[in-house]
Amino acid sequence: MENLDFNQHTSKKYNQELEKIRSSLLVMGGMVEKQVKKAVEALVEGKSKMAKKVIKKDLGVNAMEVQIDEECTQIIAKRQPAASDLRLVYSIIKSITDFERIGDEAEKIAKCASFLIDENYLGNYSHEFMKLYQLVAINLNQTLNALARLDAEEALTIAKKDEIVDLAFERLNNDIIRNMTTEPTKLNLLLRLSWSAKALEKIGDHTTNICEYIIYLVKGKDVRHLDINTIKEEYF
Amino acid sequence: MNTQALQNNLMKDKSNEAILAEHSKTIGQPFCDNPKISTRDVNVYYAENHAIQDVSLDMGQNEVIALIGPSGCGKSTYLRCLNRMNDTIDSCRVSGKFIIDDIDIYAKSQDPVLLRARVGMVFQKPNPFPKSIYDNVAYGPKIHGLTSNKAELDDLVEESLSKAGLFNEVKDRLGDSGTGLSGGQQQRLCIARTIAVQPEVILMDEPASALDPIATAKVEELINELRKNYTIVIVTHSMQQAARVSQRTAYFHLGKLIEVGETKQIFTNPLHELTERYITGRFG
Repeated sequence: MENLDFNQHTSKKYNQELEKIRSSLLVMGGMVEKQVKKAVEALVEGKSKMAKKVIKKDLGVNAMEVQIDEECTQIIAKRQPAASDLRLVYSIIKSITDFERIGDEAEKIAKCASFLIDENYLGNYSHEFMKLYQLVAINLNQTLNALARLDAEEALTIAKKDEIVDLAFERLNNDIIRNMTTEPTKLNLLLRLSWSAKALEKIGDHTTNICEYIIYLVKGKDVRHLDINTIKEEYF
Repeated sequence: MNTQALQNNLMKDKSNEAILAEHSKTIGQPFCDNPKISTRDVNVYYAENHAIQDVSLDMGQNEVIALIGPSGCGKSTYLRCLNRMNDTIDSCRVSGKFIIDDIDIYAKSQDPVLLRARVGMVFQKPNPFPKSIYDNVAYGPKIHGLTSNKAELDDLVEESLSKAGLFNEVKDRLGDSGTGLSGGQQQRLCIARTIAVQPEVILMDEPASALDPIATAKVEELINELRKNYTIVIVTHSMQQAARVSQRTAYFHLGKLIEVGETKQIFTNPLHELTERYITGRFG
């Protein structure tokens, strides 16, 4: 079933409840998108206050996860959703876990940024970091759009692009490692840069997970751990 | 996009009536390899009302199949055709093939009383006879001559009550009236009465709709147990009940069989727009 319209139930209250969790999910998505942006900005531009703000705001992301979880639990208890409604609630519960982890990764980047700023070291990787961030940010942004529009085709396209993120991460990380051998005294600092790059790569993985939940929600097919080409051939 | 998805997209925003008008063939898996009962091209009319339209469906051995759909969709009418309960309604005409183990249910030579011993039925409201608990269960075996002496009959009564999960609750008062039991116990007594004549198929027409949640859970547990020995066809308005007790689910809509599929598929990813609308509460 691909005609997903969550606004047609006999019970208007049920429509509102489903609309509320969908809307909260998108708000949470927007929140973590901003967290990632600010964390990278703090790292690349050495903005200490901004890094601290990101760390503090992660509590808000966590609270949002708990709140949406609770709303989903209530819907399951009261409505026993079935078919596309069930897939919606299930996908939301799964997605918010990944959003929360994206929030954690943003916090990690902000913590690394704080450390590096305190040590007065930003390295020479701003350009590469921005390049990696942009790849991740575009995917995350498009995933949120696909989530809003329940667009499975778009979700598949985005999932496929995670390979590019992985390649960019490998390149940047290899550079950092090479530097570790030439500047062993800065190991502690270079490790922070490496962790930050890894955090961005993991945000890419979480984004891919969310794309898979979108495909499940729309197509009713669980595509986790399947090869992208297989998914395309069998379900699209 | 596959053909079904494409069709579903085209159905978007259409009314139920418009979708139904275009519906021509049951989708999913209406047939099985090892059917206990096979029905083909079934049509039922109540006077001028065409209540069931071209329904073809198999019920497998040791399978619980749930028939769901909105009121007036024909699911109970279809169920009652399976043991010729509709014979008693003058204006009711039934056409199509009904086969149980290669035997034609509607053959002229088929005695409906014997058929109903093979295909038993449990109704929505528990309807014990105004007799003792013992006599309620013993009545069927007596008229069908299933036992030759009192000891055998006693054993059969005990076995049937045990299978219905009721024996321990009533063993010390088998002489008490069946109507004095609680609703849930009465329904299990009716199930024991059905089992006593050693049927092969049990038809259940909303067997738990008049029961409280605990009695409902006991009846559902019983259905699960009975599946080992019988084929069970259950009509239910409770979607959760259909999801819990059945292996396959058939969705009826205004006399047509729209979709049949594995229960786990029907309740997570139904193929037809009308099934989706019904089970998610998007009707009316």
